[in-house]
Amino acid sequence: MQREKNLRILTYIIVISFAAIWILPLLWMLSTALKPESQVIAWPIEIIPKEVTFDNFYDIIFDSPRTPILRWFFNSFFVSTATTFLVLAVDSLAAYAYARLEFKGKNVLFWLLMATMMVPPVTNLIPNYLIMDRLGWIDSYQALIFPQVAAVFGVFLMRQFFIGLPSELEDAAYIDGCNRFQIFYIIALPMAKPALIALGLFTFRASWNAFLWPLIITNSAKMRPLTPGLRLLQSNFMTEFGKLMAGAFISAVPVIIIFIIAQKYFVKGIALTGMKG
Amino acid sequence: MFKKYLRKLTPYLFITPHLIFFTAFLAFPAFYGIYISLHKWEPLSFNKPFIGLANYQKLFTSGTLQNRYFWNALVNTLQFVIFSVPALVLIGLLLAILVDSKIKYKGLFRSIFYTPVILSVTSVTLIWMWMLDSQTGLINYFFNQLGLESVAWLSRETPAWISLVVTTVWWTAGHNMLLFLAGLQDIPQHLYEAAKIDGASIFEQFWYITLPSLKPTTLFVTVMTTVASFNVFGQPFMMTQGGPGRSTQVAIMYIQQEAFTNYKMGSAAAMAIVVSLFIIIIGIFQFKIMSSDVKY
Amino acid sequence: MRKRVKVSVFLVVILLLTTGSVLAEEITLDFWNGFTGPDGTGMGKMVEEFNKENEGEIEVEMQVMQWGTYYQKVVTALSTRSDSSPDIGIMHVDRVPEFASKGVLLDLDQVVADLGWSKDDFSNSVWDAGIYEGNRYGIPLDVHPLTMYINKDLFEEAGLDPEDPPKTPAEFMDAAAKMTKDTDGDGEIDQWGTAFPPLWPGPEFILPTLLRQFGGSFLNEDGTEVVVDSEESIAALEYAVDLVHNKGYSPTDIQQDGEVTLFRQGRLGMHLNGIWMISGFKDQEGLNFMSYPVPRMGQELAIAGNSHNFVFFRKAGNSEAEFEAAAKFVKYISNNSDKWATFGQIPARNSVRDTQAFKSLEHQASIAQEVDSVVFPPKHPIASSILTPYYEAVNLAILGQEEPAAALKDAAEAGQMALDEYLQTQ
Repeated sequence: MQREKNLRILTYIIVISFAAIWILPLLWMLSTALKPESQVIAWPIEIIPKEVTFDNFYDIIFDSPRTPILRWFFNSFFVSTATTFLVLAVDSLAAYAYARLEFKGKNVLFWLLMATMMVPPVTNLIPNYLIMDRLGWIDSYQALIFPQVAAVFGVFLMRQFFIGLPSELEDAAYIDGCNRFQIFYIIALPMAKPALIALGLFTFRASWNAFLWPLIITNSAKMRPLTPGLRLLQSNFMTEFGKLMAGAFISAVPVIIIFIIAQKYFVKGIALTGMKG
Repeated sequence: MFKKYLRKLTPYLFITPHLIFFTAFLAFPAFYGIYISLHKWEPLSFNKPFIGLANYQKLFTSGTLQNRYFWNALVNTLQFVIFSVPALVLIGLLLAILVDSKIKYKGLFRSIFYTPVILSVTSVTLIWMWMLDSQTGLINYFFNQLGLESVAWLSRETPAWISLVVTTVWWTAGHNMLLFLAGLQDIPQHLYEAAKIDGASIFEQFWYITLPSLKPTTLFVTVMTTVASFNVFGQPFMMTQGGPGRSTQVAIMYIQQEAFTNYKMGSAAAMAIVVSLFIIIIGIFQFKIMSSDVKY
Repeated sequence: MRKRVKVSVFLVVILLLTTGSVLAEEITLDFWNGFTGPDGTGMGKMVEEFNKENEGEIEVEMQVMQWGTYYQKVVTALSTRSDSSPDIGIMHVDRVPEFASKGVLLDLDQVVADLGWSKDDFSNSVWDAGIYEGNRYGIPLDVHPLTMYINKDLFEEAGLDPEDPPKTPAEFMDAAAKMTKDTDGDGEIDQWGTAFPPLWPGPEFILPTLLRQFGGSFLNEDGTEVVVDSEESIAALEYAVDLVHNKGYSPTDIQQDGEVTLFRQGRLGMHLNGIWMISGFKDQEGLNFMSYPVPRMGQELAIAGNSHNFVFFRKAGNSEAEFEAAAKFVKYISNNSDKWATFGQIPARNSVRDTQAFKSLEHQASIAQEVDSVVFPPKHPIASSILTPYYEAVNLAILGQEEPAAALKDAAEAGQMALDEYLQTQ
């Protein structure tokens, strides 16, 4: 019994020290963002700001025409949302066919799709860039959105889910004269809600945090999403960490909020997307 | 007649939207990449002559810039994989066990460890660049408080690697934690109960029940983490710019540089293909080795 | 009464709006540059004023991105079919040959002739720097040299005269020695005479300054050989390494911008950095500083610098009207470059430097005294590929990870590979 108690105390010590390490950088970000620039570099360090100011936030939001952070915010939001909806629509349709319908070439096609899951993103970096160039889509929303819709992970995930669903209801509906699309839309899709939410969250986060592709495919400051945009705040002149931290904070807030709201699904989704993927 | 025709067509209508995107931006580009790699492809030149395997040859013959820098970058990537994967897997497992144990506020701890995962690479690297700042960073402040000397975290080679790995662990270990957590919760409770009756200690339970049951999860986590680590770009790109010298320049950084700073698309495409093959082979290899073990 | 004013204002606005749209034959010029700092804000204001003056005729739209990104984007944008490509841009003078050799820049001899500008009105080296293979492709806007910032308080404390800064090798070394000390008595140096950082701007500006001061160069006369491993070059790098590691007048292992922080904290006596830092330092409370030309540390005075040049991209040549509009814009900015100077640059034109407005800028005017000693990076289409290995070598040597001679030999080798590859394809 004593041993178990000791073990429990030890567990607490370890878990709390890890948690402290995990939280500290976040607090430090917030503390820096709230300091006036001249105090940011004060030595010795002020862990809790003596003087709290929102100037850094104000400056990077309203007083930075060259780094339009609100516009980046909108871009990120628009691109991530559009990507998510497209992925959900396109992938669930395809997945349903691969799970439930019989057609010529089904197996070949499906295995072709699965094989490309092994291909790392760097393979397509340059060709996709040149394709966008040909299409005249450099620096456009299409270029930010479409390549993400091509991914096959969602198809795989949704297919696994559809296969796992009982098909009796669908068969009954089929006998009743519903067409396949109606069955898909009215019966299968609502049942797939957990998988859709998981895939949606996964896609949204991946799109919000995408870095390399948006970095190379956008030219102008106004087309940048937030993630690569933040890099522009690091100017050649003087690295003003107060403003950088304010920017980092602003970009983190929406995903954190979404995470808090959808936490339940997130955890489920990780189990679903991760384990069965 | 028409109806029958339509019924036959239906499945294709379902898959076509995805297939269009897939073909245009995933399947076709893969072949297009090979095509580009066989050409001297420079954006501002009007003709892009076919040069056969010359771009690949440059990678494999010593005495060319590409040879010198590409293998350096690939070795650096491998180093990053070797340093980061064990840390990410082990710390992920440790965190999972901690939040799965009998403690209060499990949900809170889980959220704390998971929060960095949802941040973007730019947020994460900015935060850590500031933490690791040699003059006014928090880490060096603590070092000084403990009587240690300040370290030039991002400018010297060894500390730079440590910084990159620490940043990555802080950022993504929480993801592995959740995967392990799911694995832990799949272990049937009765196994533990039986073991307890047999008088097994907590450590024996861990060693003989938990670890073996987690094998499939560990396999999955390790393969995924390895592949993710091979694709590392943002951390060194933002934090060290590949320095000192080129000692932390990773493969994707060099490819990006070759393509968009030196404007040698053909050469960069060839490198991308070599790196991709590398990643694919290592992924398959790892999967094979570990899954043959799992069957027992 | 008041209501009437309001109504008439309203009417005027409506009138302006409608006429604006009727006279839609406006020329839009896409103007790209990498001014991401306060200089960008300044340039933005100048562009706005220009647009106001030319309302309905010319509209300049400015795009700003980081310089590194900018050069990447320019190349790809010029080869794209998308609309988002620039008409005019700013280019560092050392990048002009690279782009000119690719045929994407327009020849500007005619523009210069029309504007009536000549060599006499520009500082020596910068005028020639914009010429590649006999044609002019860049019109210099400014010169931005490496600058010596001094902390006046530290100078006085050390018994030095902040009004009479070091100018010779001995004076520089002496001042560096006097200001390097342990202020809190804990046995560790915490204030330094100067700083030679292993990262920007160390390899890019400070070492090239030393290299030229010691009589070295990057390329041989006919541009066929990379000579960064010459005796002079090794001596220059050894000078820096010795100052950092043996003499200890500079901190070691400085992180990116670490020395800037030290200077802002008042712990650095003589800080070498670009002229563009002035406004940032002015914002730092309690920092009592002054700016001077970089002193002579080697045999001859030379100061590494660069210059922002206006260039016209192919697209600007689409129509006569567009080309003229672009020329008008360049003239406007150049004539008003005293304003530009306030954002931390030295105007390239002598006539602007002679104005009272410029002379009243204490810091800029002080630095401009040696504008004729400013030297630019080598004029070569692949200059950046040749220089990158040099920068890496300097980085490693100043960190103390490699011996100067060995590092430079490596750099010369790598640079030569790039040069040979280029020469083969010519």
